[in-house]
Amino acid sequence: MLTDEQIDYLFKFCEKHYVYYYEVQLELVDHLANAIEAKMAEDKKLSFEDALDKVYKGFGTMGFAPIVAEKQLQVFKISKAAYWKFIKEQFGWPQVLSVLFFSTLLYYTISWNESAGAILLVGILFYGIASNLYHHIRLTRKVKKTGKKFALLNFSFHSNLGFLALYFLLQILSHLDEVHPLGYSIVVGFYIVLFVASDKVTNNIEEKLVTEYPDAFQVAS
Amino acid sequence: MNNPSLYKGILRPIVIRLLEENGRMYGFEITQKVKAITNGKVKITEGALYPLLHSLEAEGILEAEQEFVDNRMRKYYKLTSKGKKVSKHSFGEITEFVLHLQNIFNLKLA
Repeated sequence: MLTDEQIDYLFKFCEKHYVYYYEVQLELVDHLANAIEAKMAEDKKLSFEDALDKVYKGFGTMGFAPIVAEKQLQVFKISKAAYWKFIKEQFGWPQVLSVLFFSTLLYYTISWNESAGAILLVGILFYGIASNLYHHIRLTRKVKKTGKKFALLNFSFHSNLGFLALYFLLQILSHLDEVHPLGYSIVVGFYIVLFVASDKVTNNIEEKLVTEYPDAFQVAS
Repeated sequence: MNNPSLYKGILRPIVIRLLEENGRMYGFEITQKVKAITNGKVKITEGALYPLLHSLEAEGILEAEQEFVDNRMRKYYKLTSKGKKVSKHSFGEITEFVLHLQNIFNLKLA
């Protein structure tokens, strides 16, 4: 069995070969360690360094690069799938009713008094941004404490759509006079669905990381 | 392996089949199992295996669980319920594929 120092060396070896994500490092370190142990068992005279060299050559000329590239792609796909799952969840009755409530409230407020409507619109807009930021900063801080990088955090899909919703809303705010109140209400409903889903994805990422990598987060807490 | 490119297209069903038979496995174990079954004739490269495992995990065909073994974390893969259905389908596909190869090359099984 390899020593703790040799395992640490393997983590550094992965970093030296451009594997920065902990999810990929963990799996590669175990693979390298198993393969090195097998090689050293076959040839008792073989040193750890020589065994590592032989094992690494087995990964081919591209080294770890294809594994890292594929992982980034898959993480993006996983977070995209999670995002759509949470968006679909927003079409349950309780969520639809709450979105309808805010959309209708906005519609009547704008029809009654445009300034009051604009204030409500800005309020909803900032609540969405603040909520997204709060969840995102909380997760980022938690991950930062681990001292590790996670592909799941860096290649997440959810923030892109959050910004898309924000873009629509800002467009509407800048053309407030030209848009029918019904238009605001529909876009605000859409915005609420997106930012709620975005918050849920952030929480889901946090839960997934803490559950799958308890060693990293235990050290951090 | 005499010609690794011959096995490229069927790595996916091979991995799925192994996981169906063995319950859960980790990457290195899969490479060793294939090597053992084929008497060292077929070697799965790490550069092909791990991207495939990650892709199958993203598709929901595999799920992973981690365990602390010796002095390091180990990631085990197993088939999901969707993966079990895919396994049955891919077994049928491979059987058909072998049959076609036999017909094309006029092979006779011993």
